[in-house]
Amino acid sequence: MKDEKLLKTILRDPEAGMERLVAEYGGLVCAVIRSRLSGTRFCEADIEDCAAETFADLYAGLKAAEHSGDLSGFPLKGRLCVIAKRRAADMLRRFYREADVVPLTPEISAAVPAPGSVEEAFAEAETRAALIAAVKALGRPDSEIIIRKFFLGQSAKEIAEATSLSESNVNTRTHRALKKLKKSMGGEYYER
Amino acid sequence: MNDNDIKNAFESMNENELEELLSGFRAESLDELTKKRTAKSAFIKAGSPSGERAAARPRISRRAMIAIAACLALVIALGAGSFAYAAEAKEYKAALAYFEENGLSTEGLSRSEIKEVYRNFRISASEEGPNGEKKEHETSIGGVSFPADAAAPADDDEFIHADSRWSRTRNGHRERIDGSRDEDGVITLIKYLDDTPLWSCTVEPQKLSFITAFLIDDGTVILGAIPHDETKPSIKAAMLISDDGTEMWFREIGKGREVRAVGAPDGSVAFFSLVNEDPYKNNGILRVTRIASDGEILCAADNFTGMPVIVGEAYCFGEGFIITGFDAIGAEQRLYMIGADGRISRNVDYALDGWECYISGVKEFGGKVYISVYAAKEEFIETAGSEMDPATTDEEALEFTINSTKALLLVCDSAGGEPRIFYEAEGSMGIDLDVNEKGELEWTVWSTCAAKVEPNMPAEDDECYGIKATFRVYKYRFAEDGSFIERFDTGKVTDGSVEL
Repeated sequence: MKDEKLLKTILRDPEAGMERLVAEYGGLVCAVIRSRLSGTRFCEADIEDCAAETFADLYAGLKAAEHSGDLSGFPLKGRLCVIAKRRAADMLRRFYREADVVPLTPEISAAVPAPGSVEEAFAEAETRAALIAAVKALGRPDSEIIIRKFFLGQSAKEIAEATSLSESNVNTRTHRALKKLKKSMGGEYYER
Repeated sequence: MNDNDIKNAFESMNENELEELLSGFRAESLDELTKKRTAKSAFIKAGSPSGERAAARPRISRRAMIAIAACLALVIALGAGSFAYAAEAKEYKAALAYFEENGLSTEGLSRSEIKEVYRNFRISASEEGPNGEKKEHETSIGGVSFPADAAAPADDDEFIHADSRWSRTRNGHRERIDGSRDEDGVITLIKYLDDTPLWSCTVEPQKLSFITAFLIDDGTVILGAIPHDETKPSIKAAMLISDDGTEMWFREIGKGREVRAVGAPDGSVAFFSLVNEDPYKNNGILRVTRIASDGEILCAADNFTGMPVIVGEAYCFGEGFIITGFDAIGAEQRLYMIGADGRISRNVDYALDGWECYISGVKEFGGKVYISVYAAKEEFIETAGSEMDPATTDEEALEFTINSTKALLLVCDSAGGEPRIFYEAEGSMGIDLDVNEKGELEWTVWSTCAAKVEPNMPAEDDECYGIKATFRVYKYRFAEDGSFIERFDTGKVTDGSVEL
């Protein structure tokens, strides 16, 4: 309901709506982008700019959805994350292209999905669905730790700061959570 | 399953899966400054280049600004009287935030030193005396050949659908331009005077990619960009069409965006535009190009403003102009006085602690500059738009509105000096300034006479309630020596929905 209200505000008053949207999801979007750009030449200002692009893209998508009368179930948070990932990957691509460097980063390779069979794609979707269910079943703060670690790429220290846990506690919980995930997913967890 | 499998699974999730995964997850909020910057930048970018995005460009109607003023974060500093302390405190607070944001220590620095450092960092041109004295530079004139090597990425961000209209009221008559675009991109513009067509013209995309039209006293200015290839930046161009439909001139005015045009009494037209590469970097240039009635270029000057200035309104002032300009994050509004040579001679600002102020009109009269302002309390701006309690009675809504808004008439002398409050009307909004047939200064003020809380969203949403106010339209009249003559009730009532 909150997101629906937000969407309506954006469409009614884009500038005010954008402010609310950024207030609500700016942190998440920046975290997604940061996870893909950290360790590269990009600074916080670039991340901020990329976030602004993300929100602008979302607005364009929202207008298109409004035009086609298909606003119901607009996945605001999910859409923002997907756009943010793409935007960050684009930024990296542009940089590598301009710098004439051959990119071998996971960010780049992840942006170009390898061709696979329909069965494989279906199986992967099932795996993802199971993973989502398993992560959610962990409950907080473990689910949050897993999301921060594996989706936002945050270090134990960063997670500790964000969750008000100690760093060692984060590490312990991560380990336990991964074991639980393994059990839920019906496989073995092994560290790299 | 290992770390990479989980990472890859997260990485390959689609938007619906991420929506599910992240439900209930909350990342840290951005700090207020970053929030503002990002939102503003996103808003600007949302109106950028081509295609869908251009079509979807969010445009702020003046009505919306007047109704709530929510879109305008106008922090303007008054340098006199009892407001001096408020302005100082605001600057100090901003300076501390700046230090914190940049990881700088204030240890050992006095209050004034902290502000001094902040000023030096912050590029506020006003602190360095007349804006651009040292930094402004003039580009070539005579044919206007602005350098093409610094094209702004968002150069084309003003392209909008031509299915729009532009209108104004002059001498009691309604002037209007209607525009439409056909499949080939040809724009047809029709000018009306009180619903009677005066002329029509077409603009071929090969000649001009149409952006907008400005109605001025000597005709209509059509603004667009000349066709270009990818190796060249978008160069803006304009043409003047007289009221008999004759094309008077066609001129390039260089690159730049957020272009505003104003006609001068001598028949010339001045264009103001923002030239910079990044709206958040200290490289703002305000470009001023002035074209005579015969098409001759009178001046073309670039003024270095530090923080980029987005031009709001432009007015004639003496032999030059006054413009209102916002910085890119909408945090500051200033008045820039521009000479006949296109150079900024000085700039002034105005602020009222706890209030958001919007300059709605400027007029030179009796050797002084009068500035019409409407101001709304920050608390009002935050709640009046969509956060009102639906149980609020009409009386409460009216009281809230009256206590939270005021019209201000400021005055400063033409040669210099900071604006000071000349006249104030509570529960009102200063709308416009003009000189009437009797040679009196006429200040149009909307005075709130009724207010009620209504849903302000589409009918199916009953969660957002805002104040809908009704105003009585007054004219305040002043003699040339500044003395008050009368407050005249026009008998008109408006709900604010009429375009001014």
